[in-house]
Parts: sequence; C-alpha cells; structure tokens
Amino acid sequence: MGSLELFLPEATVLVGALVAFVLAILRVPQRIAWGAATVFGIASVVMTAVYLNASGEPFFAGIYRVDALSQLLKLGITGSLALTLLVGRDLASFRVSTRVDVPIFLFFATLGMMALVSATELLTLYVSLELSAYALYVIAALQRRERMGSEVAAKYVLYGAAASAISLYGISLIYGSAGSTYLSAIMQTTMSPVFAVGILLALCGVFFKLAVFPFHAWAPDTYEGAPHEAVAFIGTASKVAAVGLLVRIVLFAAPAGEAITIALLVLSVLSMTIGNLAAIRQHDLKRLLAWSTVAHAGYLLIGLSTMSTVGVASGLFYVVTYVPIVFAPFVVVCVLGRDGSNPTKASIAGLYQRSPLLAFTLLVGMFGLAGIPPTAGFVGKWFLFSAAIEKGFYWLVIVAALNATVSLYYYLLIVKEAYLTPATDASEVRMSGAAQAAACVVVVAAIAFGSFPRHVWEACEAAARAAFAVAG
Amino acid sequence: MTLQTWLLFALVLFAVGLYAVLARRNLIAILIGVELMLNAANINFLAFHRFVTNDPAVGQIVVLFVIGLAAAEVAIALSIVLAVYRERKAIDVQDLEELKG
Repeated sequence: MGSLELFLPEATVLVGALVAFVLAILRVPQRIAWGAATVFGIASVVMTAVYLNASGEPFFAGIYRVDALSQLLKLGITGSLALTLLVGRDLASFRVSTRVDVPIFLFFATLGMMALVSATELLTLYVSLELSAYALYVIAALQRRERMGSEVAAKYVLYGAAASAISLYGISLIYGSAGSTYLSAIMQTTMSPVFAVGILLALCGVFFKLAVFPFHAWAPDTYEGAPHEAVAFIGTASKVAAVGLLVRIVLFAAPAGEAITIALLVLSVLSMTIGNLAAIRQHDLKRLLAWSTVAHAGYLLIGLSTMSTVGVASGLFYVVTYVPIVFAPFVVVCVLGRDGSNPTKASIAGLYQRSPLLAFTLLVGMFGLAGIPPTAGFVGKWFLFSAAIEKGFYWLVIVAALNATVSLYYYLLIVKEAYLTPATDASEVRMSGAAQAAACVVVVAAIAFGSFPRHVWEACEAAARAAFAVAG
Repeated sequence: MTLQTWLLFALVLFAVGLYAVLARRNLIAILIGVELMLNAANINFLAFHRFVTNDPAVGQIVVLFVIGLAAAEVAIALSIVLAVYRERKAIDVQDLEELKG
C-alpha cells in the first residue's frame, strides 16, 4: 500500500462528479451547476499541478501507478476539462433539459481517462477505458437537434463498442500468452505470434480513440453532429488519454517490437495522408477539424513507432501542446455556434471585424495545427521529425513533411477567410467572460509552449524515462 | 476438451460477431455482433485461466467485470437506438444518412 494522498487529483474530479450529480437531482438553475462544475474543474487542474512530480502507488502494488508519465497526461486531461467548462457556460448546443446533467458526464469521463493513464494492469485498464467511453457516448447524444443527435450517437456508440470488443479480445490473448494481467509480468513474456496478434488487436481501442486510419470513420460525423462542447472535450482530453494508453501498450509490447513498429508506421502514413487530403474538401469547420485530427494522429504515431525515449517524449510533447492548439478553433466553434449551428468557412468570413480576440484565437490555432512558428505546433513537429531521423526513418519524414505542406493550404485558407474576406454580417460577436478567459489561456499556452519549449520538453523527457523505467 | 478446442470455439464466435458488425445493416444486429465478440473474449479468458495460469481467480474476475460492463454498454447503446427509432421509425444503417461519413 502506498500513500492515498497521490489519489487526490482523481478524488477532486470524483467529488466534482458527485456534486454535479446532486445539483442535477436538485434541478438547480443551470448557471449554478455550471459555476460549481467550473470550480471543481479548475481545482482538479490545480491539484494535478501540485502532484505533478509525485510518484508511487496509491493502491495495491502493480495496479495503479502514479509517475511522471501519468501526471503529465493528467494535467492535459484536467486542463481540457477546465477549458471545456469555461467555454461551455451556456452549453447552448445541448438539448435544454439535459444541460444541467452534462457536467456529471464530463467529470466521469475525466475520471476514467485519469485512471486510464495510471493503470498498469489489464483489467483496471479496460474498466477505465470503458468508464471514459460510456460517458462520452452519452454526451455525444445530447445534441439540440434531436434527429442529428441520435444518428451521430448511434454511429459513435456502435463503432466504439465494436472497437472496444476487438480490444478486449486482444487483451484476452495477451493474458493468455503472458499468464498474468500485470504489465510488469507481461513485459517479461517471450515473443510469440499470439502475443503479437493480441497487442495489435488491443491497440484497436486506442486507434479508435485517436481516430487513426481504419478506425477514423466515426470522427467526421461525430465532430459534425455532436454538441460543440462535447466535441471539444472528445477532441482534446480523449486524445491525451489515448496517447497514455498507447505509450503503455507500446512499451510492454517490446517483445513483439518489430511487428508493432511496422504496423504503426503504415497506419501513421495512411492516417496523415488520408486525413489531410479529405480535410481540403471540407467547408464545415467541425468536419475540417475532424479530418485534421486524423492527420495529427498520424503525426503522433511517428514518435511512438520509434520506441525510443526521444521518440516517446516527442509524441508526448506533441499531444500535450496539441491540447491548447486544437482547443483554440473549438473556442471559436463554441462561441459562434451558440445557436446550435455549425460554423462554416462562410460564417467565419470577416471574423476579424466582428471579434478581434476570437479571430486571433483562430489564427493561433490554425498556425499551431499547420506547424508555423512561434506556436507549439512547429516545435512539436520538429521534435517528432528529428526523433524519426535519429532512427533512420528518412522516407517517413519526407512523407510527413509533404503532408504538413498540403495541410498549410487548408489551414491558411481559414485564416484568410477570417482576416481578409469582408464580413457579410458585421454584428459584433458577444463572448462571455469565461470564454474570453479560455481564449486567452489557449493563445498564451500555444505561443508560450512554442517559444519556450524547454520546461515542457524536460517534463516530457522525464515522463518518457518514467515509462521506460516501468518497462525495466 | 483441450485449450485449443476452446480457443478455436472463441475464435469462431469472434469471427461471427465481427461479420455481423461489418455486414449487417440493422443496428440491433450490429449490437448483437458486438456482444458475441465480447463473449468470445470471455471464453478466451476462462480457457486461459483454466489451462494456462496458476492464479486461482484472475480470469474469472475479469469475466465478471466484462459481463457487468457489457450490460452497461448495451443499456446505453439500446437507449440511443431507441432514440433513433423514435425519430425516424427505422433502425437500419441506410436510414442514417443525414451525415455522410
């Protein structure tokens, strides 16, 4: 038994979920429920930051591990939660009767993801994966336009359930070939074909969450049809958690290293190419972000496929800095889409005249996604590419660089719409104070991580070393 | 019954489930396919537990957890399918065409 104190960040989220639950039962006004949820959301970020350098095992040995890796990713996850709550004061794209309930699901999803990045035992891992997934299925269904909401949720839940079933089958094969559910024991396994197949199947659940190529089909529809705040949360926190899981699986899969590397490389190239080519044709901003997610999942896999400390650290850096970068366009989506509609290229035209802050947020987000300095997107890609070169994957870097060039086109087109095209509707965009705060936080974070990457990079390196230390 | 028999049985069950997910157009049928896949994994866990590991309980505990999780999953999925049905009086994938994946 370790110290229970290490569980405080998760406990904060759990208490937040219970408070939100009680407030929802009492049917308090939505504004009060939102206020309480936001306080707990910010408290969970602070708690995670306090325990950022903690390490140990709060529960029974070998099941739940708090280390540099888990704490760094938990900061990304709780950060996404707090940002989602900040921009989601009105939760305007949710059905009116469900708005009070939304924070409950956000908190439970966060709790599941936090447990997921700490889990070092197969059953714990699977249960936390499902805890986070179920809550997300529900909030994806609460779209104001019911017809669209139910369709989107049906697609999301069925894809998700199928992916997690395939994952579980893979986990059963891993259990069979290792004879244990503890990751520390699994790493000692001798390589066998069953083990390699098990790992690849188990990765399907991760690929679904990351929207990597063969499991990306849910992303464009869910992004387009689910409520804005739900998508913002799925698009940030869920990715961070999935990367945590991916790092753990890839490391304990070391006995089957070769096969996994090849699989990851192939999926990486396919994801980024398909994602970028499909994104070019999109007019709906949320659909465009969905395809851009597919492409970015491809970039991420570059770092992890190297299986080196530097590669894993660069993957972690990429996903942690990806949170503020990708949240920036979602702030715009949440604010502009307050009537429940989706912003399109046409509706963001002349955004600069209507709200300079919002336009600048969009600019920073698009620069970050495209990888233009001084945003963190540039540094992130730099780290990923240099990790791949170190391993001698030259052709991979060339493909990725070509892809990044293609993506410049559609990201900059959005910036051009916002800044150079005159507005058709010149009315000023109203932003709540909380949404303004969220916009400022993501802009400052995206630029600061890009201009002064040293501290974040050191944290990522420490996290990668901690992950490898478990792997022994 | 040997380990191989059980694994083969589970594999067939898994393949049937996967086929249902990929080929059937009815949302309920897809859900049943998912259930078959989960149960294939359960049989794997029990077979490995019985024939491979020395641990007295782990495989069985995993299966109990999975049964519970599967029930929760079906509850969520069925309620969403019901919502789809209420909206458009049909539960075929073809009818979900408002959005083009």
